[in-house]
This record gives sequence, structure tokens and C-alpha cells, in this order.
Amino acid sequence: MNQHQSGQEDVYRQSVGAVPLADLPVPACLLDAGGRVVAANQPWCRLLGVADGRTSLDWSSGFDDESLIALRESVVEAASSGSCPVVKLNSAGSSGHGAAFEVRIAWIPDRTAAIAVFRDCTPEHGLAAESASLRRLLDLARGQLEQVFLAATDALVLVDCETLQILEANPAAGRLYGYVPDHLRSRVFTDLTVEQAESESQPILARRDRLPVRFHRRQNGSHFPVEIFARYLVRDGREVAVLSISDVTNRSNRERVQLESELRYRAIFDAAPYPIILLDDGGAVLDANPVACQLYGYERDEILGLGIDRLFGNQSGVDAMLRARSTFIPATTHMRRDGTSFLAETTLSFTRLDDGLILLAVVRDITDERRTLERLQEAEERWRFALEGAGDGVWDWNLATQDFYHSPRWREMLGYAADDTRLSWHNLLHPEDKQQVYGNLDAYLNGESALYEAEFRLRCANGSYKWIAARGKIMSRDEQGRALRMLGTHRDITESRRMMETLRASEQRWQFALEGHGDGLWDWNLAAGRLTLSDQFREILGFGSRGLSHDVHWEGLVHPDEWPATHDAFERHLAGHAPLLSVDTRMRCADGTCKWVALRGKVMEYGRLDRPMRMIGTLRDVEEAKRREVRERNEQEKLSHASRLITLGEMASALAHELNQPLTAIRNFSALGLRRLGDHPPEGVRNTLEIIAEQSMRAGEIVRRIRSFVRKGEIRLEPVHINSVVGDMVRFSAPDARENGVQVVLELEEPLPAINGDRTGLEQLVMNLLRNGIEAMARIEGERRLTVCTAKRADGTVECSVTDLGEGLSPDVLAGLFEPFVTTKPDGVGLGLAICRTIVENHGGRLWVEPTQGRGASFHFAIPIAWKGSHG
Amino acid sequence: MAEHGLVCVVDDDEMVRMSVSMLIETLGVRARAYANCLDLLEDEASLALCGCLVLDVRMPGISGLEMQERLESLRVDAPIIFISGHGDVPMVVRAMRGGALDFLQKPFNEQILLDRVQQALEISARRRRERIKRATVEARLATLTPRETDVLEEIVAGRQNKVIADKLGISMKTVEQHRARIMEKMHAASLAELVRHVTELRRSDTL
Repeated sequence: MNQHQSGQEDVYRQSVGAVPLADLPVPACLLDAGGRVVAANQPWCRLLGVADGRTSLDWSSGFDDESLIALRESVVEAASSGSCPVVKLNSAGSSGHGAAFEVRIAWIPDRTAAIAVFRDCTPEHGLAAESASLRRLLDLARGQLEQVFLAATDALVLVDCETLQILEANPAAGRLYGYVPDHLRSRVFTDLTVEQAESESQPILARRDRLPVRFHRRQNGSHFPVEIFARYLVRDGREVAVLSISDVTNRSNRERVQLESELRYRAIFDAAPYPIILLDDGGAVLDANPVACQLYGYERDEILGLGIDRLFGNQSGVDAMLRARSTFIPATTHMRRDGTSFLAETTLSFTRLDDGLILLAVVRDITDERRTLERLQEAEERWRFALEGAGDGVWDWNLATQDFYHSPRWREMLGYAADDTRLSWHNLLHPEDKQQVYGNLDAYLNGESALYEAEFRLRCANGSYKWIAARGKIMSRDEQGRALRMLGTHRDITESRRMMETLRASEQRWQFALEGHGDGLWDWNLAAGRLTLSDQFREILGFGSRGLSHDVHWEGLVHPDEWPATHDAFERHLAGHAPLLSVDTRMRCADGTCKWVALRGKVMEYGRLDRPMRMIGTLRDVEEAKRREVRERNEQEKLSHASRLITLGEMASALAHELNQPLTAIRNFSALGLRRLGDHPPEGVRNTLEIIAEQSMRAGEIVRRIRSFVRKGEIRLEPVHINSVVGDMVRFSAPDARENGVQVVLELEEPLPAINGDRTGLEQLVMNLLRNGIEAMARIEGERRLTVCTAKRADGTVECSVTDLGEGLSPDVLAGLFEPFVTTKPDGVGLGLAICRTIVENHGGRLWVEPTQGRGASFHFAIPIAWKGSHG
Repeated sequence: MAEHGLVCVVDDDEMVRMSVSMLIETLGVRARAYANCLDLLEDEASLALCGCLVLDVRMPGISGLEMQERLESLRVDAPIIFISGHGDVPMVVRAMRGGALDFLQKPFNEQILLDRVQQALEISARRRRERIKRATVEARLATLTPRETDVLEEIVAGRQNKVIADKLGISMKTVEQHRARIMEKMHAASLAELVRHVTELRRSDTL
């Protein structure tokens, strides 16, 4: 924007400065440095009403002082800063109306004067005349510029900044490119460049003042380098670039390219990851890259000029080699600055330059390589020794010579003399196995498998065959990557193979049976740390047959919370403390949830020292069962808690009743005593009796308080279906019934209306009756049947009966059956039926015993369908 | 005034029923104690004389609340006072809805019990008087001839002799004769008394 503005100012200055004052079509005058009018043109004189040629000092008399001071200051500002300030001049006007002028001032250095262009901005004077005169001024300026443009010796091209279209080109440009200037017009800038790429026009789009040196093309097709300076102007509302183009062919092309290539090589040299040293033919270091400096422990300025012998050791051979122009110096000892040494190979190349021979040495530190190699050889020896110790036969195959080496142990294994070195395994191979073994070997050598593995039979000295497991690996290769040497083992697996075969047969049967049962199977190879899972296993955890196939391990499968217990179970079995692995645990499923599973397993194979090698087992989905178990346990707990609460309530209630009776009697009798005292009782007797009466009331109050405390918030009424209560309680007591060999028969009327009651209390009630029934039959001979009936009765109640076939109730027992603390059970408290009665009473119902035919007892309770008490 | 009222006490605890009946007797009323409800139900004579019942709620056999229902069905209208060692809210509500006079938690202030017993006996005596009065009116009504009954209905309905004569198709004289007979048979001193007796009887019938 600034650039834009200053561009406009330049045009202004140039245009007004280039045209003689008299020819300017707008009112203008020349001001000296003091702001005095030196000369003026006709329009100016007309505007200010000054007689022609009489540019006397009095022109300013009409203006106020402030305006004149501002004018003078603006001249100074224009002279010092080169800008074109604008001042407003105001006159009071002798004729009664004021005049206002806007004066634009530009300093013209070569005339040491400022030119002031006046514009009438008095409101009465229209703008039309003003703009017309301004346009005239601009036209004139453009005409002047055009002259300059056409006459310039530099090639000038005007380019539209947006479209890159060439708007104007001067004759010099036409000459440069070999065109008639008109032909250059309406072409685009990139027609001139060699490359038509966008990058060519980028500097213009970015409004660069100087464009980088580029090759342009002449009409005849020849290329030439150009340097371009650009100025940016606004013309007719469009931004244009004035390009001044000069041919720089005369500047040394070669020089520039060389500079670039040197820079490029320098970069490579510095960035190379291997040490490079440049030497002159005298063996002195010309340069060394940072890696080389680091290798030898020198700073760069320290290494320059050093003799080669300081780095490459003191061998006299080095000089000779340099002289002989060997290109490769094998491992020699090189010296660091600190005196330490290292082994390195050096590759040399020689380049002849104008000023002599230059050597380029690439150094390769091979200390580590050597050490590794030595360690490898050592390791190989050790490994072979270890294998022999483990009872495996070792083979060593030189592929180049086709020599086979077999260890003595190998021969021993097959029953041959230990020193019979003529034997080779492929001569002993069972004919049937040949194809498979060579197939595996080829596959390995072709890189199709990571390890050579095969199982085959070898003929023993006694003519029988032994099963052998072979494993092997290439130990060295030639430069083309072909195998040179292979090393491996042979292990006698005859026995384990026989075992496996019998095992596999049974395993198949077993697997069939288990999978048919919905169990997942797993096979854990402890030695290899490999856990194999059956499809069913994966399915249980929600994985497809492809899931869970890589890197499966128990800890990853089991939920972290369960892992310690599960791990412990494994450990116990593996250590032989448990004959079977059996643990319920939670495993992660594919969908991120967890599932309860039962894990069973057993070690199937043992290795040396009875180390467990392989475990096989099952996985069963027990989620549903577990959930049911938890749910039922919760219910049971809730019930037993409620039972305890009810029992406590009943205890308090029973206690209250039992205590209240005698307390009532005490109170009444003491009151009676008071009433019978007559008019003259012995001293203190009345008082004593009154105290007895009061204290009995106090005791009663205490009992009441205890009771109300226990019962608080106990009963919650809701619609309850007695059949559902019966169903739940029969289910909960099922284990009890089974244990006592009792068959529970349900005769439930459906549907039954709901009763308004406290479900927990009703559960307790039914549970107590069921337990009593079951216990009543626990020690009897003959049929043990408990019948539970429900029915709707005509009197608007729901009746439920529990009938057993036990010994029945004697008349004695019957009399106090529902009283608290009365029991027929050896370990009973005697609250069960008392509780039942309380619960039934709380529901506004009735509990009774009905006589039965033959043996047994029949307990009944009836509870109103819509019990009045629930509304009160 | 309470010489007719017999108070029946039922409680399975001997000491309680004994003390309660002895207390009640200090009022100068007769009290009879029973160990269970069945014994009382069998003692029909006492039940007929009974002016107030004091019942324990929880007892072996028939509970106090059940007894309340039985008595209602036997049309024994003596007020009942319950005494209970562990009355809870539903139990009290049930008892009071069944028409009990009170429900006392054991041990209780004996004065309250005695006040209640007296109240019960008064109620019961009033009922008895009303019953007797009603029975008298009923007995007298029974002595009227059918024609006299017709005339009585018209009189009670407030009609004048002339209207009655026209309606029943008899002479004014006959109506007057019937009227005199009715007054005599019903022991009514005035027409107003006659109408009151009959309407009171009818009202209590509809109650």
C-alpha cells in the first residue's frame, strides 16, 4: 500500500516537474524555499485574481496567517523528506464570501524550488472543472512518460501483475528479444522465459524488486541469461510491473555454475556419514569432513595441513601405497590425536586438478566389526558345545564343498562308532522322507522360511530307523547372499513321537467330546511360550476365528483383577500342589467387556527334571451361571438381613408383650391398693403404692420405646403377587429341600389378585413356613412331600397353605403354637411362627393350622386383597 | 345407675384380667373375667347382661379383633375397650373402625380405663332404655286393629279427620272413635306424644 502510494507520488512529482510551469493546465506556481511565489502560470493567476505577470507579494493578503505558515512549513517538509504534502488555504475573502484551496506541494530538486498546484475547493466552484484539469495534467504526464519509455536504452516491459500480460514494450525490449515491439504486446511474460513454470512469474506476483537471474528465449529460439529489476505502479486501476530487463550473457556463465557446484559438493562433503579426507600429493591434509575430524579427535582447523603419517600410523608402507596409487589399503592401525589407535580400511581416489593431484581418502573404522566377528566365532563354538551337551547331534554343512561334518554324539545317537566320519545323514535318510526333507531345505535356502526344520527317519547301525527332528540355520553367506555354511542339530524324537501319536488319537476324541459340549480348548506349550486356542475358545470371548491368533498369553487374556488368583492357580498346578488347574476367572472379550469363564487344565507333557512342557485344558463360559449365583446370593443376603431385622422386631414385640402383662398387673394392683386404703392408711403406704404405680408406667414406656425403635420404617406396602413370592422362596429353599430329600409340589391358582403388602415380610413368612415344613420331614420315613397351595377365597382374601407330611402337631404344641419362645426344635428360638403371626397380622390377615388327614401339618394364612389398614 | 351393666373382661393373662376386674368392681359394677373369648361366647347369660367388654387383642384361639366381629354378628352392642401389650397403628385402626370405644396400651392409667368403662356402661344403659322403650311402643302398636293402623298412619302423616274420613271412605265419627282407641291403646296423653313415639320408633328402625 505504501509502495503503491509512493509510486503515485513519484508519478506526480515527475509529471509536474518535467513540464514547464507555463504549460501546466492546472493552477500552479513555483515557491522558493521560504514559501514565496517565484513564478506562476495563467490558470493560477486567474484562480487567485492576480494580474498576469504581477505575481507580487500581495496575492497572499486574503489568506489567514495560519494557512500561510502551514504553506511555508509544507515547502520545507517537501524539500527535506521528498514527500508531497497537501495544505489547505483559507481566505476570509474581501468580497464577503471565503475561498478555500487545497495546495499540493512537491519539491523539485534541480530547480531548488517547490511547485504548488492549487485546487479550488471553495464549495461554490464545482469539482467538474477541477477533475477535468487534473485529467489534463495526467494526460500530459503520461505523454511525457511515454517519450521517456520509448527513448530508453534499457529494455522496458510493462506487465499486468495479475494476468502477466505484456501491456507495453519499448523498442529496446523488442531488440533484445528479436521482436517488433508490437508483437511483444499481448503476449504473456512466461512466453519470454525458457521454462514456462509458475516459478518464473512468482517473483512478479510477489512484487519483488529484483528478479533472480533466469534464462529467457529470443524469437529465434536462442537462450540468454537476464537480470530483471521491477517497479510496480497502478495504471488505469490495474497494478502493472515495469520490468527493466538486461542481458547478462557477458557475465561469466561458467563462474556462476562453478560456484553453485562447489557449494553443492561442499554440502555433500560435510554431510557425509563416513570420514573423508582430502590430501594433496605430498600427503598433507587439505580438508577433512566433520565425521573424519571426530574419528581422529581433531578440530577441523587443527587437522588441516597435518601429514598423512600422523593419521594413518607410521607404517612406511602407506607412503609407498600413496605413491603406487593403490586404491585400497586393508586394515591398518590408525592413530587418534589422544594417542589411541583403531583398525581401519581406507579407500583412495585420485583426482587431477589444475593445481596438482588431489587424493580423496574414505576411511572405514572396522574395530567393532572385528570384535563382533571374534565374538561370533567364540559364540559358535560355545553353542556347538552346548548342543552336544544337550544330547543333540550337531551337523555342519559346507555348501560350497558339499562336505558334511557330524559330531560324535550324532553317530552315537544312531548307534554308529563315534569316529566313523564317513557317514553323512542323507545316506541314512528313509526313502519315504527324502522328498519332504529336501523340500523343506530348499524352501529355507530360498528364503521361504526363517528356519530349516524337518522331521524324518534315519537308519541306525542295527538297521532300524529312528525319528529325528532337524533344525538348522545358515551361518555365513557369500557376497551375493548365497549360503556358504549351514549349521544345525539332529534330535532323537522317536520316543516322544510315539507318545504324541497315542496322545493325538486320544486328544482328537477328547477334543470332539469337549467342543461338542461348548467348551473352548487351549494348548499351552510352556517351552515355546506358545498358547494355541481353539475356535470355540475364541468364540466364547467373542473373537472371530482370526482374532487372538498372535502373541496370546494368559496375562493378556485375564482381567487384571483376576490375574493374581488365576496366576496362583496355574502356579499351584505347575508346582504339583494341585492335581488339576481349576479356576473361575474373568477374561476380556472382543467387545471390551469381561466374561466369567471356568478354566480347567492339566500338564500333559513333562520335560527333563519333570519340568512341565505342555498344558492342555478347557474354557467354559460360566457368565450366566455366575451372574445367577451372584444375584441369588444377593437375594439371600437381603432376605437373611430382613429376617434378622424381623426377628429382632419380633423379639422386641414378644418381650414387650410378655413384660407388659406383668407391668399391667402391677399397675392395676397398686392402683387397687390405693383405692382400698381407706381414710387413715398407715404412714407412707399411699406414697409407696403411688410410686409403684408410676414406676410400672415408666417401665411400660421404656418397653414401648424400645419396640418402636426396632420397628421404625420396617413396613413398606406395595402390590405383591403371592405366587411370585412363593415361587422365589421355593427356589431359594430348593437346596435345602434337595438336601433333605423333600419334593416340593406347587398348586398355585393363576391369576391371583395382588395383595397390598410388604414383600420382604411376606417372603419371610413363606420362607419360615417352607423351612418348618422341610424340617418337619427331615427325620421321617416314607414320602417327603411339601405342598404349597394358593387360592382366592370368597371373603376377599388370598389364601396360601403349606402342608407337610411330617409327624404333625400334638395338642400340647398346638395350644401355644404361635407364642414366642415356644419351639419343638432342639436348636430353635421359638420365634419363627410368632414372626409369621406378626407379619400376617400386620397385613390384616389370619394365620392358622388346619387338621390333616393322616400325618403332617397344614399351615394356612389369608390376607385381604384390598386391606383396609393400608388406607388408614 | 349402672346396676344393670356387667363388665366382661377377657385376657389370657390371669393377673391382668384379675386386676382389671377388681379395679372395675371398685366402681361398684359387677365384672366377670374370662381367659379366652370362647368361654365368654359360651356364657350367653352374661353376654346378654354385658354392658361393656374389656378385651385383650392377642390371645390364643379367637383374638380380640376377631371377637369384635363375632359380637357384631351376634348383635351384641356393648361398647368394647381394647387393652393390648403391643398395639400397632394398623391394629388400632382396625379396632376403632370396628366401633371400639378405646384402645389402651398396656400398662395403662387405670383411671382412664375406669372412665371409659363408665362411659361404656352409660352408653349401654341408654341403648338398653331405648330398646325397652321401643319394645313397648312396638308391643302397643301390635295391639291395634288393621283399621286402627290405617288411621294411625294418616294421623302420623298429619292429615285431619275429615281428610282421613274421605280417604278411607268412613264417617268423621268413626274416625274420631278410632282415634280415641288408638290414643288409649298407645298410652298417649296427647296427639303430639303419639306422633313422637311412632316417629322415634321408625327412625331407630332405619338406623
